[in-house]
Amino acid sequence: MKGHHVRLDLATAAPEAAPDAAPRPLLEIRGLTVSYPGPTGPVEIVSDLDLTVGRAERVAIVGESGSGKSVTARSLLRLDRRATVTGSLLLDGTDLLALGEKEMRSYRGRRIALMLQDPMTTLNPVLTVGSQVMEALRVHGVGKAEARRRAIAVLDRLGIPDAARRMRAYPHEFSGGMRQRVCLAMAIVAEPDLLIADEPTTALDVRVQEQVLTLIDSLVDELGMGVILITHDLGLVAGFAERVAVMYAGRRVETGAVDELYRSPRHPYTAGLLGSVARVDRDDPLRPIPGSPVMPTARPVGCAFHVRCAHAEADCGVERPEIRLVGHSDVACHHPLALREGA
Amino acid sequence: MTPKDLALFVVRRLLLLATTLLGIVTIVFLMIKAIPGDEAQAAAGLTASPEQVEAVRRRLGLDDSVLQQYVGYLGRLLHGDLGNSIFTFRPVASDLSGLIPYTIELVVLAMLINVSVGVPAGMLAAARHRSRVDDSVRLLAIFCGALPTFWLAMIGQAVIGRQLGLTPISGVATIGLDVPRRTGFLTLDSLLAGNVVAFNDALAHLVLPAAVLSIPFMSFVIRVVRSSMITALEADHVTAARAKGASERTVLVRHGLRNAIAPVSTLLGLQIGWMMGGAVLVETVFNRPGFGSYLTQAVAHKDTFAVLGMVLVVGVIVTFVGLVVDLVQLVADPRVRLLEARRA
Amino acid sequence: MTTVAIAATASRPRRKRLPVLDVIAFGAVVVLLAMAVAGPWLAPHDPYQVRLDRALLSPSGDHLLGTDGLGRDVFSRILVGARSSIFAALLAVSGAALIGIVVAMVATIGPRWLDDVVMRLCDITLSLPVMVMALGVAVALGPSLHSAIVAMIVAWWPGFARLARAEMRTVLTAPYVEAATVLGASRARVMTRHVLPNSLDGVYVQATLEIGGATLIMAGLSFVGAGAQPPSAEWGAMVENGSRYLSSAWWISTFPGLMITLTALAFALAGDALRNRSHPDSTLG
Repeated sequence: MKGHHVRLDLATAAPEAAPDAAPRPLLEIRGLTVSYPGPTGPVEIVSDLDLTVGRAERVAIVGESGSGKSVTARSLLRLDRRATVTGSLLLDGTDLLALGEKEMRSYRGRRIALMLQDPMTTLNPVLTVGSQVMEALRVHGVGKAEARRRAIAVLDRLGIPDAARRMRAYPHEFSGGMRQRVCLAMAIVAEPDLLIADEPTTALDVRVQEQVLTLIDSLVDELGMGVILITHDLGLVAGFAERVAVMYAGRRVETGAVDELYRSPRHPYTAGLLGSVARVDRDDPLRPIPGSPVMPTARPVGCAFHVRCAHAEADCGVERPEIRLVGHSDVACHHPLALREGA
Repeated sequence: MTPKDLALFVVRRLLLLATTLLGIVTIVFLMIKAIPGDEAQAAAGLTASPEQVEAVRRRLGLDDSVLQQYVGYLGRLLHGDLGNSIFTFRPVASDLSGLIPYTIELVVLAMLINVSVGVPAGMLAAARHRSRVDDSVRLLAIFCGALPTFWLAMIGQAVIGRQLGLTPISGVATIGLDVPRRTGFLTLDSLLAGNVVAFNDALAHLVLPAAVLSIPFMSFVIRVVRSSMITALEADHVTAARAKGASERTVLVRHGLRNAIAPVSTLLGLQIGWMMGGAVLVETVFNRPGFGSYLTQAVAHKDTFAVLGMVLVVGVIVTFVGLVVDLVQLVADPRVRLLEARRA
Repeated sequence: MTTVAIAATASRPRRKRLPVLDVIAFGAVVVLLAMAVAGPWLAPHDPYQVRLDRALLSPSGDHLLGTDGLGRDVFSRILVGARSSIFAALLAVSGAALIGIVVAMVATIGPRWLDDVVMRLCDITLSLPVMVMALGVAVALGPSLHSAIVAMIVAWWPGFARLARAEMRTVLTAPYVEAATVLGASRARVMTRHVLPNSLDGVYVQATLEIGGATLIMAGLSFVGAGAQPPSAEWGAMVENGSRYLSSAWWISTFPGLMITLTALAFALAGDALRNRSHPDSTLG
């Protein structure tokens, strides 16, 4: 595909992507910048983000709260009217940012779906579960009977027992795990090409987390859809995604294949995140990253992380590091960590 | 919620309703007792002869103990006896039953105007939350709430009725346009008689008073719709609906207004009672027969039993409207059902 | 790519609260209160002096807002009437708030059944429209400004009682109250020293908001003859008095009506501003 220059971060593209021809990625995010009106002018929450997702590829965006990961998720669907979104969002070659609002609406749910964090609040308490799943089809012009049939099929596929009868139930009659299955059903019933799952398991207990991730995982293979998993939990990513993008203060600081990044993180922030995650393959003590995440309204000059970084040197507080290829990962750091021994 | 739960709910509400009614009756009874001076004289009227006053005293059992009087009062109420008016010389109950339809027509139309303007305005403000439109609607709502009904009625009557001649100035119907009285509701009766001219005439007499009556009430409707919609629209399920590709209209109605039904219906239920209070002023200005003008006359003539009878009637109406509101919420909002099921 | 380095103004973006309007509202409240206090001294004419030779004069230099059917100066009557109109509303609201607070305290300290009874009583009273209830009280006590005030207190205390009770319940669960209880403070002491002072903010704000509404109802009661009696210069009574001249001498009713509107509006806006200040995130309004 001549028109789309392949950037460095594509070097580690999905291993499962179709081998024939040059594969056009499902989603190509280039220079995504999102800003919100603030008291003293617009505030950039996400800056200059590049990321690609292939068909049937699982990509994770990881970061602490305030890193801009959820804003990224919402801006892919252009959900917030107050936000100013620039850059380009190519879905199958179509720039979503160039679409009119009406066209964009026809993409939401049908081409790109969003699954939210808390199943308690993601479901409308006064509407039946069935009508909410069906809504995702009805708003795109699917007939009532057809929508009902497909909704039951999806609920059934996601392991809701007696789905046809449970369509008439209200959200409060479901357990947390079942509710999140309903949310997943709402997201995938229209068979989108891309599913964005924003912290889909944070509100659930560990056992149910596992089940929901397994379900999403199996759907990727069945439907061939791409998934962006947004999470603060790097531990969750290990068994799920092929590639990870780590975000800090609205910028991508490291992107790489998941095992690569796990084995040998190059950015001190990634290393810090890994240090604060319990790992089976190492017996290092858990070390939280000192300090707290910077707010997008108060990013320091230079590398946004340098105030918390143990490896920071004088230049870190002066010039912001650009993304560059280090080993097999893209890293935005003046002093990337060396390859770990044994890696 | 099973039919059995629903039946239990209705029974529980009816019991509550009974205690409320008893409470209202007690308050009214205590008000009668609080009147300084001779109650028999008050009941018989200031112009009554000593013999007449004595007769009333015997009939009402005013020489008995207060408790016996209370029981007697309850007994008379159960027979529909609200006492006699000292002004019309007729039983208050029969006076009221003839007049209340006029007031109900007024309140119903005012309520329709109230809802059909207030709800969309509140929705608009919520949909444009924190915008100039929102600010303007909020200010307009506060302004509507600051207008004195009787003054607005007078100005409306003078400008729209008299100066511009757009509506009739006063009364409920043009003389000569009579229709046979069946239900007591002029609009309904003229329709039953197939008399379109009389129907239009009755409606024309209703429009301005109803509009004036509705304006202060809109203030509350706008504010409650706005704030409960804003709360509803901030919820994640609204983001989820937008992410499904739902249009703004669907989002506003299905995920905003639908979730605001409980607080809004509670307010509307309360407003029906308040409107009966507001009707007092509007009916006086527009010289419409009805509950309100009867009440004002009764106050002017110190017609104790007429006034207190009406306090009671309004209390009963408000209480029953409250029951209807509860049932509406039970049907419309599963959260209310859940709450009730837990309480059962 | 430029580095974004915005100074640490981490305040969340808040809508401007139309401060100009707030200032105007508070200013208007001050002016109205001043009028209520100083009205009689400011009046250019005797508000009660009947001069039939000067009846129904339209607004002019001598009579700024004209004269009424008995030749009384409307401007002077409005100035003097401010006292009964505004003070009556203030009195009614503060009386209702005071009773509400006391009842709420009793309900909060007292046994469970007492609380139930009090709340039921509130529900019952609230089911009677203020206007109707007030007319009932007015006829029971005989129509006068005083009975109108009593009537409003009777009809309005339950609203304040419920609000105060809800706030007290919330404060009761606060850690510092628990601490005081653990340290052995008596229930009465906990209530008066800790709970009461910390649960009144909401009541004050509500009271300010209600003064506007009270002005309207008070005027309405006078208008139908259940409040201030002639020749009182109460604004509602003045509107009523002018109603029969509306087509020939519009000024008699129009100006007092405008004053009622202005008063209600000023207190409503001031109350709204107060509430927004105490709960900046409140979407009520």
